[in-house]
Amino acid sequence: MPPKDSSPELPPGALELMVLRTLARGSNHGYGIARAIELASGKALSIEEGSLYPALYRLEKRGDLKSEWGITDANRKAKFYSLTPRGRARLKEQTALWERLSTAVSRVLTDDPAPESAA
Amino acid sequence: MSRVFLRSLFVFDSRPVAEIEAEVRDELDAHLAMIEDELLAQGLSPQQARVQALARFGDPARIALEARTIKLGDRIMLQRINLALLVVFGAAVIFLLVQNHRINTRSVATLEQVSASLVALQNREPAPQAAPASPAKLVYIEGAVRSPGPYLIPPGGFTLKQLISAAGGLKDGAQTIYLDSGGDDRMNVILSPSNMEAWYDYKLQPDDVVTVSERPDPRAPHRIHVSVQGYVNHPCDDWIESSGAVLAKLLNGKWKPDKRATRVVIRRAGGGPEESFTVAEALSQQGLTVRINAGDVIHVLSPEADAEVPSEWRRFVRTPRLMELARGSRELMYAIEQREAYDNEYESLIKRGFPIAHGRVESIRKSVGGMELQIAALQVVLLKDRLMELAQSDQELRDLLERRAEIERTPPTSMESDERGAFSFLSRYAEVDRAILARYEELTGK
Repeated sequence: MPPKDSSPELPPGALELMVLRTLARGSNHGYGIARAIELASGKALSIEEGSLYPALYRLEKRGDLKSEWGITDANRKAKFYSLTPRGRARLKEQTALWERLSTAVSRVLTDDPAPESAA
Repeated sequence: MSRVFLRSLFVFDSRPVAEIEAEVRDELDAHLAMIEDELLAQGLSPQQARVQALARFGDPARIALEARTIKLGDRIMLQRINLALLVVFGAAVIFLLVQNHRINTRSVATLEQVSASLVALQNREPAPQAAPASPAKLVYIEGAVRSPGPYLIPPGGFTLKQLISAAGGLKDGAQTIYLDSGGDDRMNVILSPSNMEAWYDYKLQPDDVVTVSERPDPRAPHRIHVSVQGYVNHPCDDWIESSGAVLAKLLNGKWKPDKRATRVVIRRAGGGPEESFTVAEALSQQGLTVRINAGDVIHVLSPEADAEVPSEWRRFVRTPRLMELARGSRELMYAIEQREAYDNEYESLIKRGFPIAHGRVESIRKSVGGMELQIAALQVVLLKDRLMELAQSDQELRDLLERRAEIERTPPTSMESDERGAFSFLSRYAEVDRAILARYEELTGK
């Protein structure tokens, strides 16, 4: 039996944003993206790795990513994804949106009123 | 609208459907193979690596299905609309020609009318009713699974196992599975997790209903799910016969305490205070009176052995030479980062203290060995040209490289048939790789 899944479920859009962020550092294959997200999140987010692919395909279809087959360092054939200029723009826009959203949510959670209404 | 529509007719992937599907399969397979590489390097047998890789990855069939919808969904629809437009257009042209030929007088009015309706047709939204020709074939799964509901039977068919994994797997409390098949030979099957393996490959028929219940059924042999962690030969979760769910039986059977183990602590699934025994008590007559219930966790502890752990831990050290090599290799960089992540995890576990820490410490210790092995192997592969060059003037290095080549030539059959063989096979690599790297340091150090 697989171990119990204790990782929190991702909010919609979060996975795509993390994929874009990871690829902003350079092209990579699905396995590499999964490792990078796992490492960067301090192992707090371990996604079912296969679920990356629907996200990758959607992003590619929207023109945010492009892909080509290449060879890994360990000599395996793998498909490498990289950001298109459009994907870069989307990353910027989505990151800003995400930050606004998460600030707002954590403000609600900590009951800390927004600066405007504070005065 | 029509501009976007027309553009999308030309932009999409124009390769045959089979080719796109094959590419998705290749890509998912490559990912699984990379997870397996990683697990093999940690010392798992090929079979274990396969199973764990799938657990981590999810069901490739389900993902391929999702990929198909994303990659081909609107294309299939567009093709249908395209064809429909072509037919309408062709019919219109023929109609126009015939009309033109017959009655020239009314031609202008007709032409305008027809071309207006053509434009209207082209501008029409792609209607959903233009979609599937055959009715969707569904099976249903209900009850104690993560995502109950109807599931579409993929083109290659759906086995019971695939349906359960598509539904996110059984919940831990699952006790009975009812399979109600509405197929040609109507039948009802009652399964418990103990005998369901035999049914895993059962091909589901359209409209079959699988119901997963959290209650045992008196008609099925029932089993419960428990977890034994810490200093036992094989710490893990597993299903056991509920009749044998007694502390002493478990510790005398599947989970034998390690020589270092001194205490046994039971955490009950239903909460309540921890129950604590010495290992001797747990294995004796007294242990026979301690019943284990579904979901209980048994920790087999050794505070003495744990006290020794911190001194044994060896942190990973980044050397300038290694990092220079890693700058050119994404894989090596990941291996190093992962190795260091274990250092961090180890420290946070120790801070959190016992007993949560224990089982994990043992297992990360194993993983660390595997990662270091992988780091060494990657270095050797990356330095290959330089090593060959140096070996021309150094007999010792030449011998080592020859030994490594020999391991590489060893057919994998012996390791596939035997779990122990797989581990010693990898360890043999490790020894040679370490020797090669040491010799390399010596030769280039001066």
